Amino acid sequence: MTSNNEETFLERAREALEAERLDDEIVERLAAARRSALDGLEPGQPLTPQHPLWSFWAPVGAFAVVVIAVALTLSSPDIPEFPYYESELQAAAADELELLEDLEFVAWMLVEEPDAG
Amino acid sequence: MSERVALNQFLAGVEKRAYKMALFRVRDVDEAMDIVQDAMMILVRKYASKPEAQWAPLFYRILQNRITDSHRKATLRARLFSMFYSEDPDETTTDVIQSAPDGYAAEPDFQVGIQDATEKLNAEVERLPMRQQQAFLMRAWEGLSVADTALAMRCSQGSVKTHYSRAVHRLREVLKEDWL
Repeated sequence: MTSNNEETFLERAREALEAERLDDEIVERLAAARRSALDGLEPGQPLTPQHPLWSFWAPVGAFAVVVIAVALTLSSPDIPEFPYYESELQAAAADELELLEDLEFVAWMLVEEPDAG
Repeated sequence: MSERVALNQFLAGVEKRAYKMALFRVRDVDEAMDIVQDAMMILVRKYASKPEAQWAPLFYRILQNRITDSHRKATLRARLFSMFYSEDPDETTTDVIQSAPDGYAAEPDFQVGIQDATEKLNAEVERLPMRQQQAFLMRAWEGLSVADTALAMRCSQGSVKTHYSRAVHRLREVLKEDWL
């Protein structure tokens, strides 16, 4: 089986396959299928894939949020500690204590500066 | 020349061969038509932006995937049908695809005016195993390179060469008395 014979055989096979004429109806259906496929492209529409704007900005935005969160965490000044009370009773007692301290302060002011009142 | 025109020309150039390839396998005109249309649509929607040189292997890859899917479904349907309705238990293993009516016979015009050589070649190509048939049609008829055929068939170039060689050998063996 020489390559020359094989080439002859293949050439004849190609001719035989090409010689077959499809039915007109089949040809028309194929053309319609092609038109239908191409209709998926709007006239003038570029063939490069178009992505919605958010598909670009969404990851950028997410990354920015993460960067800002990390930056705030690392660079934030010491947050002043606020008094923390486990119960309303403790909170009320603290308020009372502050009030008493204020009263003491007012009394001290009155003693030290009688004319101020 | 716009890409749209180029795409139209490409599809017009391959549609007949694509249809025949599908018909060789599924042997049903409507099913073959659906397969070709699906392949066209997928190529246009997903791969139109690819370089033109890649359209052929991509198109045939899509086409072969669809043909394989269709063939599998038909085989499964046939087996299920045989399991439930066959009177002869031995027939449950029959490949109904192989024994299905000839797709060409269903098209009266198909037979009219076709030369003997074409008829005999068609019959023998139809009998080839699927992979050999794919390799033969894409290499010998469509003219794809070994690399592009491998891409379309999702296999190695070595496998393409093997399938193609076996197909050519087989066809020459069975056709030699009539052809050469």
